[in-house]
Amino acid sequence: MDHMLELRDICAYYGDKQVLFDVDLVIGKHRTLGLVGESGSGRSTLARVVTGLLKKSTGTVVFDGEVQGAKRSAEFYRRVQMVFQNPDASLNPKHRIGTILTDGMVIQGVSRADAMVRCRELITRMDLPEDTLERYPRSFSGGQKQRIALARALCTDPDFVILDEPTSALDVSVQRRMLDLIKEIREERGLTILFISHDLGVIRDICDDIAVLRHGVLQETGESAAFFASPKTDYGRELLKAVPRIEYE
Amino acid sequence: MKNSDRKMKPSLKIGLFLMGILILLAITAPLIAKYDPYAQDLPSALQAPSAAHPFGTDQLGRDILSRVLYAARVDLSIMVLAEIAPFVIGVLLGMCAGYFGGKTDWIISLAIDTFIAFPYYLLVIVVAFATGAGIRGIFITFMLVGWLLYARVAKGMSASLRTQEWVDAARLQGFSDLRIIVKEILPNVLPQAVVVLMTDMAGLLVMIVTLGYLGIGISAPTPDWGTMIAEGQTMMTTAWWISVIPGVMVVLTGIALSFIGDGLADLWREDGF
Repeated sequence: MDHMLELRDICAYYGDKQVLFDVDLVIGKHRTLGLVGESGSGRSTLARVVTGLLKKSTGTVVFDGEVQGAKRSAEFYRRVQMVFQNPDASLNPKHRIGTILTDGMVIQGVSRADAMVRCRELITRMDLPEDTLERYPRSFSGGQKQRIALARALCTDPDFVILDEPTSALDVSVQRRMLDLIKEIREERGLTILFISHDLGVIRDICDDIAVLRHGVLQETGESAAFFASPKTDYGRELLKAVPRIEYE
Repeated sequence: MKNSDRKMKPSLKIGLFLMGILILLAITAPLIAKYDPYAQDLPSALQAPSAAHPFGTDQLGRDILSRVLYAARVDLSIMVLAEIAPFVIGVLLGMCAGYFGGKTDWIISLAIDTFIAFPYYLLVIVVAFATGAGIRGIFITFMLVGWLLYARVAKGMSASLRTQEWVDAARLQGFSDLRIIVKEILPNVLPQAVVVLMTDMAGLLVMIVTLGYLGIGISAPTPDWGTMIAEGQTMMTTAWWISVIPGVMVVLTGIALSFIGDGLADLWREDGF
């Protein structure tokens, strides 16, 4: 299997505190890997290491066969994108959506007019109102903002997308729609996805593979179906047990 | 909510209206003023307000209305011009300190703390004595200390903004630090900085007027509200208009700026800031 992303011996630090310990992880091309763990287990930190946002880290990040240096190339940022957890904090409140979506493409050399055309297609695809591009972020709901954030991530036509708790700030019905949209887009574009979540139900629904992180240490990895059938570690079993179940009569 | 839906607050309207009138008066001073503000006319000295001299005359027979209007040109233009460089420098340095953190923050913060430790007016007086009384001293002093306030505001805001997810998203779009500071952070810092600018301009006007009053600001015979107030203070009981009229102008300008600042703060707070 071809690897889209390979992480070797990743350690990360916030100040003097080490938050990731020798993490090794691979994500195959066109696969969706669910990264699970409690809050503070280092999941978002790992995403920040992959994208180069967190400088204080050691280890090797290999993206599509290329070892990444401390500074990522423009091409890397075209191919790797991320959707953040908090829809209210992920869009600059002072810019119109049109600016937010097109700026990234313009910096990649696409003309503003072409970028706008591509944005309109994406907006339609995301089921967002037609006048979205002319509006400011404050006039959208959380679910809409998250779809805008997803549209922004897709603007540069990436191969690999990191979704950091993309649905946890949304209510259940909106969550469902967002997940369906992610699945559809994944199929359409053949995306590789790193899906960070604490919600095992969501992970089970959307992920091919799974990786369990605890206190910055990778506990187990494997195919999602195998994990849900029988976790390899005690911690994995504990996590599964903790999933609330609704019993129907 | 779209931009056009936002309502202008009454305080902003009043502030802009008042400031608009003051600026208009300053610009059109040569048209409105019937007398040369420098022209002495000793036989007409110390006249109370009348049809010929609506705001009376001073001890040298100069028309107070003409002098007050010309003083508005001098004081308001110095107030605005002296703020420009400190505003730009302060906001830029503050944003760099807040955004980059680390050593950049340490150096800029050290500069801020050093300058802020000086008693403000003492520094003004020392510079004024070193450079001689006049407009130059005001500009130099304010260049030294005026940027501090903006730097502190911009630094605090940028430090919290840089951890926002939309800044990370901008980095992931491949934006350079400079671009992120100018295009992403600045539009968020600017409203707050402009509100501070309004308050600070009122403070600067008071400083200009105080220095004029103390005799180390704008020097006679250039019309200036501060020197006018000083000239009339010994005659407050007999010729109140000499000091009171320029005093009222200072107060009106201060009120206008405060209203604009408050109104803008309200307007932008509704946007979530």
